[in-house]
Amino acid sequence: MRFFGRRATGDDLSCRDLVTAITAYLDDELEQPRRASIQHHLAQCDGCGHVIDQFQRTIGAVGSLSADDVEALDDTVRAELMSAFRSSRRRSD
Amino acid sequence: MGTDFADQAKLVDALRRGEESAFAYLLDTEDRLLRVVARRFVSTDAAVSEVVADTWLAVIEGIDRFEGRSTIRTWLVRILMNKARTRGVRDARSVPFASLIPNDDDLAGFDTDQFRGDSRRRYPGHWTAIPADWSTMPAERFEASITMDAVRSAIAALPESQRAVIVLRDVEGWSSGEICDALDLTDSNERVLLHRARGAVRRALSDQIEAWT
Repeated sequence: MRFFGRRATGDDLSCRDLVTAITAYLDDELEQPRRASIQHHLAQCDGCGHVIDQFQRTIGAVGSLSADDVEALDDTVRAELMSAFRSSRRRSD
Repeated sequence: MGTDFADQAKLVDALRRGEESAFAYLLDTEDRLLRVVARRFVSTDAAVSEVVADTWLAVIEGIDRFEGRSTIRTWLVRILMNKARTRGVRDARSVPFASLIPNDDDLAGFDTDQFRGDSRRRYPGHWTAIPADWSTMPAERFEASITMDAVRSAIAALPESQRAVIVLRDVEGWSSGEICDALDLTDSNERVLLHRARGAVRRALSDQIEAWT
């Protein structure tokens, strides 16, 4: 039988437990037997499978912000910084 | 000429000797990183440029004090965060340290009532209703500019420490070790902050794409 997406088994890890551990699980920072019990739970629970997918898509969406335009270093500012580097080194000689 | 600046020790030596090519190399390889991070902490392009330029000036002044115990880019981000802070980044919802202890409330943006209570005889802590299956939703919803704006807003609304962690980890792809080094966090605190940040962004995404009209 499935109960709200989860088959009734002797598995004692709850969906709530899984949600609190999801970042550690996805970043491969969980030790056994915790990791195995999460995998066991995921094999039977559609709801938690959806949450793993939601997290992975969330991480992907945040990652796509790296394509956000940031202005390139302005040539004038770059020249000023190079000049600041030059004079600072001269001072410390 | 010809020094391998990818070797950090050689790069730092050259910077201390005043080799301009070394400083130019550092500008070319790391300026973008500083801008990407700064952008999440100050709101205008002008402010980003100022904070980044202030950071570079501090690097020029401080290179002799760089101890080489961390990587140069974690040192750069450490300086950048200090500069951003002194500009008064919004951090009204700064997290008290005690609340960094992992607890049952780290529900990744789900509400407590989405789980069955502990007093239920059967399946305590399991879903009261299955979370939405995003894999069945049209890709356009995830790619839409309004969705990406929701992600940006969710990140902007995070407390400063969570924002720094999620940007370095999920935008820049840093390891947790580097993040702990740059932000002075323990591994477990870094994980809690990252989990809360991802949870808040997940919630914002959920609000955007599940309520699509």
